[in-house]
Amino acid sequence: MIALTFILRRCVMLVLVLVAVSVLTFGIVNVLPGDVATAVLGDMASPEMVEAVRERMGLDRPLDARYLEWVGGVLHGDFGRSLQHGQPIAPMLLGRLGNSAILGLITLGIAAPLSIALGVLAALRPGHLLDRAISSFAVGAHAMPEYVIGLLAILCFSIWLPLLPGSSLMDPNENPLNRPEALVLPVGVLVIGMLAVISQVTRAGMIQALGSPYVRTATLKGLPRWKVVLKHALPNVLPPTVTEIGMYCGYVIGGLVVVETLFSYAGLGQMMTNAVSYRDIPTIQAGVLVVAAAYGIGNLLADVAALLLNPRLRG
Amino acid sequence: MSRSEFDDLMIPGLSRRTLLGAGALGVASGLLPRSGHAQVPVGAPRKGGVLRFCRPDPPDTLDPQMTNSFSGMEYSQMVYDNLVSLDADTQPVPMLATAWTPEKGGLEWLVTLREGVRFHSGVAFTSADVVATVERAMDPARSGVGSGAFGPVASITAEGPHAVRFVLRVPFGEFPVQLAFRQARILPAAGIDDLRNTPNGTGPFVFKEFQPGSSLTVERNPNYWNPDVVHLDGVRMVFIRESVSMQAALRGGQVDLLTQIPVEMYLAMSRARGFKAYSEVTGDYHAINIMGNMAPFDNLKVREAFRYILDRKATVASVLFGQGAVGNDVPLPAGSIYLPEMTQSEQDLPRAKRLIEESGVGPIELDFFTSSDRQPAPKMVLAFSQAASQIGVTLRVRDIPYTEYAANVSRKKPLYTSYWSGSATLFDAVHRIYHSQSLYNYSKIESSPGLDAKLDAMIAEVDLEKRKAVTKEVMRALNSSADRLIPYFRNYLGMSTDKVQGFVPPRFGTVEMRGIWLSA
Repeated sequence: MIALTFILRRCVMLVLVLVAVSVLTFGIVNVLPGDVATAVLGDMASPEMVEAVRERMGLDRPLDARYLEWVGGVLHGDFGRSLQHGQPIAPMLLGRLGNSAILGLITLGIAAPLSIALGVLAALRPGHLLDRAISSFAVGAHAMPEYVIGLLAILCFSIWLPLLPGSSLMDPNENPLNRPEALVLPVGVLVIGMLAVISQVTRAGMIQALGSPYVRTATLKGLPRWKVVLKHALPNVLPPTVTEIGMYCGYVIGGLVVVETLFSYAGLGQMMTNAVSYRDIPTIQAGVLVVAAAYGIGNLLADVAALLLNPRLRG
Repeated sequence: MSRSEFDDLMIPGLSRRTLLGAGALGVASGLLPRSGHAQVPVGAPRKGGVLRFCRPDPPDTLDPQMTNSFSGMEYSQMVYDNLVSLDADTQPVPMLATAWTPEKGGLEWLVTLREGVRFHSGVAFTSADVVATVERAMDPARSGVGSGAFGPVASITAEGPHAVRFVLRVPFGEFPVQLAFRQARILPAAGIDDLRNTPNGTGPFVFKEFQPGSSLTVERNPNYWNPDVVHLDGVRMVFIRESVSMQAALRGGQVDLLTQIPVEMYLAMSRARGFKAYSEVTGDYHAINIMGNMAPFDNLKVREAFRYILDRKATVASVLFGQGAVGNDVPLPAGSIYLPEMTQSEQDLPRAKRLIEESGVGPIELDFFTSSDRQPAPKMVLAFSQAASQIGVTLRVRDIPYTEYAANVSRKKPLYTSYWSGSATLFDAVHRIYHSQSLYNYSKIESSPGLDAKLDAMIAEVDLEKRKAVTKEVMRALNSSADRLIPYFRNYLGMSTDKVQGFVPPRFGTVEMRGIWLSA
């Protein structure tokens, strides 16, 4: 019952967050210098031309009227049309959302178990060679921007050793799974980024757990080491790790701007980059809403998972 | 009218060959190409194949008149036709127009249209389409930056289904060349304001699909009126922002042709086996706008002083890595037949300092705006500001995103960089930029007394020698007083795989797909 109330409360919060995000996004994009009219017409256009195009696009109407019209459309399942290209946003969004989801889920599927395993391995003998190697790699990867890791990956595996394509070059309606080779580098870069954080969270939790009285008791009872670690320590380490992975769910759906742009991967991040460049407000709004929803749902799922993993939270 | 008749009528005494002079660059044969590898035709063109063509930026819009990006113009060049195209000597050759006759000393032009041409929708092409296109281009609200693309047109009327009469505001000797302009594509009268959603041209390729930000695909038009120039089954434009990714895509065989690549990439790949590198002189340049309607540049001495601040040769060497030419503050590159003998502006800091002191404007402290979206302008701006600091002029470099630049800087700040591509006519390359009433004269000033009248005389003159004389006067005036500095001209830089044949590096910005083919 407590769990159900918790989930319902979080759902209501999620809706409120989405409303707040949409208002904030609309406000921020409108505060940014320039709009789609100036972006499309460029610096060569005269002020009169810009005004004429602005009027034709309806950008001269009050902000609140435009926002409410957009909200009305979204409530009816219509995200509107791109101001830049005139195309309906919903189909554009769906194709790209699917691509980002595939990239993200593959990344999560590889990174989550791998980083937990590395974190556990590092924690088993803190300060020893394996721990130092894993921790150094994690800190180094965390310190290096994805952009740099991506560039290095392209240089190494596409230019110096031409083994893998340096660009995905796929269309939003193309299934990325049909070209797995194009996924290797983007997934690799994302996995490295995720490993860095999750493995260190797991390591810290595991070191703490292995020093706790219940683990000492289990060890003194004569249980094998692997059983102590996997059956007694790990379940107590997982909740914060799962929460951290939940945070990444939203990220891997819509936060892949750098990787998608670098590898020309037709996902949500690439669409957003283009939309922001052209101040295409309806497209930005739709994209941000989806990303915010992904973050919210990811966190919700992580909390539910933590609830299930931790009997104390279930009340 | 045949082309030879046109030669006789348009510019008396001027042969087809010397019509080269009608081009604003006027340098097609005067400047040597600097291709890294010579393009050697390999037998007869092979039909078939899809060219995968990569460039950094996606089209801003699919409206052929509204587009302000090279990718948008390249797309429109594939899907639409102009009335004329230009040959290697910048001469007009028939496209949708088969003949053009000047009347009343070049004030009116009767243009005969090709019969039997159809739009991709199946509708026949007629004079009504040309009238609708030109009238739209005369309305800035509908055509945006394509406004004025057909030149100084006062009105256009249909004379039957296959002829139109242009009435110009002033006589315009280069009018047929202007008809080949990037934004002067011929559009269908039906649905003319909705072409960004429903593309429909007469061109060699039919629009298939546009995935914003990702790709644009066109397929061969099986009914194209000139099948001899179409060899490809289609073209797929893809957009990669990062130059390393572009390079990887070419090396990995994912794309066939890269255009407008960064100079660093050109240098890195120019000697790679299996690829062709292209570096060609163009009329493309970065300008430094020193706005003559704003302080301190409303003072002529300050404008003059700024001409002596930058070391132009060093800039070409270090910023363009030699892939360009030194500019002399006029919009025509060295070698143009319209350039008079002029002293090349060189860095002379003591002289610049003295001129600023004489101007009486006091210490100069300004923001110098540029955008990394328009490389390599920021590097040039840094070099400029460092040189200026040596004479006590403080220029704070402001590198901002292009959208912000377009909204808040262009026409509004006293000092910033802008990018200009070469043009085939004096009208587009000079008149539209420097005439005080022209669209691209951002400060709306006549930078020297009588300049407007000289500019009008320049485009109205149909006699080449007289046009040369008046244009040279214009160039001298611009060199001494214009409110734009032109420190360098950039080369066109591109790369392709060896199997791309028939590619001609573009002189006026956009890649022409007619004539390109893929070897086996």
